[in-house]
Amino acid sequence: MTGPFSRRRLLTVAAGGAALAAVPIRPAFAATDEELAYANFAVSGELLLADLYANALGANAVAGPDRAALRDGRRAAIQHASALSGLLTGAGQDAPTAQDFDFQWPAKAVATPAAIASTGRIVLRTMLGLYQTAVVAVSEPSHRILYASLAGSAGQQLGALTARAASSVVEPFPVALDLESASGTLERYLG
Amino acid sequence: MRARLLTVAALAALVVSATLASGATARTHADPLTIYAAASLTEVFKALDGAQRYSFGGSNALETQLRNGAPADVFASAAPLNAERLFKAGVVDKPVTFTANRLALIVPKSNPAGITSIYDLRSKPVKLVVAAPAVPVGGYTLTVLRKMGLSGVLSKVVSRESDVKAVTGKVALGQADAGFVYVTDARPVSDQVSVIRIPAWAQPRVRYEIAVVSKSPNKAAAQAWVKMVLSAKGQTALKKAGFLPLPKASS
Amino acid sequence: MPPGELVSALRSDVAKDALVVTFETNLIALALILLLGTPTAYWAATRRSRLRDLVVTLIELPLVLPPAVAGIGLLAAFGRLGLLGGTLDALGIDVAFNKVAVVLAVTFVASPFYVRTAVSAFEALDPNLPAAARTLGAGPGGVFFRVALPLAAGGLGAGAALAFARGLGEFGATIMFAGSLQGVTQTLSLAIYEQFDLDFDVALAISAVLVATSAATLLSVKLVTRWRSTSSSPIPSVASSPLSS
Repeated sequence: MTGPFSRRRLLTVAAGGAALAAVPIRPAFAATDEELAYANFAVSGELLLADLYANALGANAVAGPDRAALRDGRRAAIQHASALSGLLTGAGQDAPTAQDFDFQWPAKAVATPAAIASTGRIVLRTMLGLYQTAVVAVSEPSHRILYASLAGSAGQQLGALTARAASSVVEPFPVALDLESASGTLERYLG
Repeated sequence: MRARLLTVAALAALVVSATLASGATARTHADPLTIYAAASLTEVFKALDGAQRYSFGGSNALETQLRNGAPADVFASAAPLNAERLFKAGVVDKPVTFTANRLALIVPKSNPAGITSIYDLRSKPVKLVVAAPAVPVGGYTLTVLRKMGLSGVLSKVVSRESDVKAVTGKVALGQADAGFVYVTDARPVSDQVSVIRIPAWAQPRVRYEIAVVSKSPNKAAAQAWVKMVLSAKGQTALKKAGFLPLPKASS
Repeated sequence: MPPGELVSALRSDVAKDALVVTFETNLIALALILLLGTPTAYWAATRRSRLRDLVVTLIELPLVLPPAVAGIGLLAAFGRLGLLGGTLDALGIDVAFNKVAVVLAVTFVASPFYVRTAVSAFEALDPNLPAAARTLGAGPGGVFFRVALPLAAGGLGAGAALAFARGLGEFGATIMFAGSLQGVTQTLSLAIYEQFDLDFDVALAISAVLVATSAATLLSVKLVTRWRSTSSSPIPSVASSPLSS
């Protein structure tokens, strides 16, 4: 039998339909408040980082290629904060800005290249650990990708910042930090 | 008999006229202003200017009273919403932001539930007291918990109070295990409560607004009082009490 | 406000929860007041001593205390850090922020209304009647249950109605001692206070319920009094007699 309703055609259509039905359709994930808590903290962490870079540039303690690293880091942090803010506002929450904070830096935090590297290391290492946890804890795929790339950037910044440091910052398996630990570590700086 | 009646009538007239006179709208510039202010401003406003008449309470309750014609000269609310709504309704003149604040978690000094961090609220049984959602600090509390992903903690609430001082009181008396208040409310009862810091990244944008009541019979004095609050004198007093200065470019 | 809207406002969760909480706690409080207050009133009415005067004064104290002070008093007595707080804790009785706290608050402020009227009612009894009962062989219990109680029933009923009405309207002591949580401790009065600036219609509807209940209570007192005074009892209407002490 030939024509539009031939048996072969019907079977093909049926087979295609069955195949489609067998593919699990992914529902759109709505980010819960617990998941958005990572973004809430991360925005403030990135704003903190941007402030550190700005202070380091202003202190004029480093020159040349090291300044480029600071400038790139600052640019990255600002863009990270912007992306995370978009994530929050997209979910219906308010995103904080730098003016909402009163960052507290110890007296000589950016006085010397070593101090900059040391302070930056603390902040970046914390953010890296947090992003690792966020990638696992969050369900929305686009959010997970963002956290993964933020983790990657934090790693790059760690390397760039401590390139001339005495000790290496390379860890084979950086430890993931939960929100409570990360918040506790940066509390003295976040004000 | 007639003389007695006349005496009674004269006395009654005297009483009535005295009552009317005391409520008369014509006032001298030395008369105290009536200031309706958020409960969290109790100590600082009284210390700043003890000569005025104050009515402290939840900003939402004060808003309702003013909307229904309560006689006042100045309104100071702990959230922009209440002052802005009254401005839209024509009850107050244009409000101005005059200070900010932060939230804190307080526990009784005896700490019966053993709370040392805000995350303990999640894991330990606790009698938590908060303000009702319509009260500014109640709304701010919900924002803090939401930002931290701890909204589940609300299942441990045992009472929703009508203003922040009621929350403070219940914790200070040891009736409640924990309560969310402003950092400024913990100070007057610092010997009865311990303060647990809420991280900066979880804080809501707390903004206090002040406005002159449109129908105030003492508008000039009221405007001068508002100006005083906004001046260095007022701002210093607020800072001393633990309130936050406004960010440079205030929202 | 049209009746239809009133009814639908009453169907809201807030109103329903407040009605349930109020009637549960107030009926239990009334039972407590009757059980404890009646023998106390009978004792006070049939004795004349310093102790009796002291007890009556203590019972009448909540009448002159502002409800907020009553709240503080309850906290001082039954609060966590109060006089009996430790004992209650040890016994495993939880009196904080639950219906027990509401019952205590209502009982405390409403009991004087009952006991006062009850003492009046018992005092107004013709002393010959209990005496006659005793000469006929009735013991003190029999005198109480079969002579005093039935004869004073009118006054006791009036007192109970007054106490119930007072308890329904209690606010200050409840909010201070028991707090306010919908479905647990939020009574009709507390619900009105919260809903006032949230949903005025609901507040209005709840107020209407309270007004209606109070009116019904007053009406029932009047009716009971009239019924008792037209009955065959030689005792004068007790609801109008002042407390004699």
